[in-house]
Amino acid sequence: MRTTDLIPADVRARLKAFRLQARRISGAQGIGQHQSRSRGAGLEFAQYRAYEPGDEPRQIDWKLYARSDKFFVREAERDSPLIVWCLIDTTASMAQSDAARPEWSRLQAAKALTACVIELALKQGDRFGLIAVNDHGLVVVNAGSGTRHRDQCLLELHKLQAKGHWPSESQCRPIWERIGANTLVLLLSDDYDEACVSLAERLAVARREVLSVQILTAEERDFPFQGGHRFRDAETDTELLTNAAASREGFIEQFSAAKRTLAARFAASGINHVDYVLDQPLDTPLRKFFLPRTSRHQESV
Amino acid sequence: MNFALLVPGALAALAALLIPLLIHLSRRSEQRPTDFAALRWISAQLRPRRKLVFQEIPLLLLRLLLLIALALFLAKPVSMQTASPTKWVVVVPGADMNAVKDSVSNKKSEWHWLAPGFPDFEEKPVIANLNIGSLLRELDAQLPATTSLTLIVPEHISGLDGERIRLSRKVDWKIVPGAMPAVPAIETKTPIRLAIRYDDAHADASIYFRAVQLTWQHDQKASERDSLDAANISTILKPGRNALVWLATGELPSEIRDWVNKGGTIIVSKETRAPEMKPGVPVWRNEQGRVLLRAAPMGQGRILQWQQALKPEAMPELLDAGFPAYLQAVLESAPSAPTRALATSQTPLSGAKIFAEAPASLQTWIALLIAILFLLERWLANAPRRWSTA
Repeated sequence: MRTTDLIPADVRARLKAFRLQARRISGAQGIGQHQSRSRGAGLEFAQYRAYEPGDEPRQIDWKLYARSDKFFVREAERDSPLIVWCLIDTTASMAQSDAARPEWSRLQAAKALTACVIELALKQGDRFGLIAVNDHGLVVVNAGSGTRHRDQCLLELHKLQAKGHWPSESQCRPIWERIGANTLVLLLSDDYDEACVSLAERLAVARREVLSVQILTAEERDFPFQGGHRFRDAETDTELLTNAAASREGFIEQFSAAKRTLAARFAASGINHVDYVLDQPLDTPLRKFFLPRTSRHQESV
Repeated sequence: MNFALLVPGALAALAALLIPLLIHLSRRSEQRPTDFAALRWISAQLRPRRKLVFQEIPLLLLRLLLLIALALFLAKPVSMQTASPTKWVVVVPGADMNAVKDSVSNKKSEWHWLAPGFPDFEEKPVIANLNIGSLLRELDAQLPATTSLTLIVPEHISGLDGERIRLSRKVDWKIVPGAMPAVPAIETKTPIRLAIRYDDAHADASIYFRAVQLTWQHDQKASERDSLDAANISTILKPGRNALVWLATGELPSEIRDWVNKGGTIIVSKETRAPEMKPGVPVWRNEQGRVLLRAAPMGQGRILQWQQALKPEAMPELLDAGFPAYLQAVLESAPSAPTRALATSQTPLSGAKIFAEAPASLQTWIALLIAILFLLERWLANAPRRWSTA
């Protein structure tokens, strides 16, 4: 078993600078400032739980103590204005990695990015959820908050495996049921499935704020192959025997054209889109999404 | 120095060179498919060009070299050494030292003793019982044909054999004063001490051998005479006898056999069964040419068998007055030939067959090369590497 921490240490150190924020949703719902949500208990009653050393005495329900002669702490559900959903593509193509670094697959990068976002949400007291998509059945972790919820999400993340295809429309229904309006959706995919792209577009149209990270391998960007080569697409199971060096220019041209088309489509739908190549630092896409404007400005200077 | 292969057919093993070539042929990139999800943007029209590409050229070369060395090893390479002409001066022990020093002025030549192993002149050779003729032939066969040979011999040489010395080259035969120690003559003549054993059927025949025994005793001094030992076959043989006349029908008893095997001489009658006589040769024919006696080796001893019935009418020689002398001549071994002569009379003849020089085998060196190449190959093959993705 590999190390259980999905986030590299250097990236974890840089996470402090990031802040989850939504363009449209920020401050529009809930009470008070967004950053004040983590302090104090919420209004909505959630449960009683037994007193544990370290709890503040003012949180103890004294009326209940009078009745039961035991300390109970009144817990409230902290209704955060921000819910982050991580939508992870786990189709077979996500298993692809570079030959130079075979263990660092697309899916591994997606898991690490998800873990980063979960850490950010936990730090801010925001709620977060997780949906992994392929046609072997969706993996859904409901939106929640707290370290225990984070651990549950990480546990599910570790179990994810890349296999199968993008699911059909009916199989995708839980996505619409869970992800409510005015939430932040982070889509982690290679965006090669048309169904995936159109799902993102429709989510954006239906008042979800969608952030899309297209995860590419360095081989797809550079095409460093030479000589005769047998390529295989794991999802469609088609093979192609070709002279790699000769087809390099044509591939790079067509591939960047496809990328431009995709970026244009996402821009038209109001989706914040960025691509991440596997040999870049992990926080490159996070930097574009979540760095506060002032510090982003400082960095560019 | 020129090389030759004793088994050139083994070079067929060079066909094995194909194996590493095939192993190193770069085909793995087409064998193993690469996962590539962005397949739809690759134009499929371009077929891969077939091009022979070898991977890991140094390792390939090393393996080819190793196989070539192996094939060479199997082909048994030898080198013919054409040594530069040298001069050998060989001194026969017994030559007067001062005369030796004076006789040859050229000190550049190699000086040796004529002794087993041809030791250096500085050493003291073992000079007992030298066989001069044999040593000279050995030296002649060992030395390359280009080496000139000077022999310094004393006036009297011993240790010669029956054949005149004949060498492949002309030698400088220098005679200096001195003499080889005389080999003491070996007393080969041992007196025959006869015993006679007979069964009832051959009691008559035994009288001729009693007569022979008595005749032999007659010539000897009274102190050396043996008593007559003639008895029935059941009588045990006394120690000290070295010849036995066995006149009986049927097989030889095992104790008699053991006695002969230890070096005794036995003369058996025609009726005695003796399987050892198969390879026997005639040793005595009469005037008509009929074989009277055949002899064959038996263990360390000798067995002889009469080929005629021991009766005067079948073998009149029994009554001949010369019969004991004839029998004695048959039983006694021949005297040794003279081995001592004057050096002047023994100048070696030339014209003997030239022996082909034994080529030096190079297999040891090739084996060493193979071992080194093998270690290098293992080292290189196990070195950490990165397979190129090409």
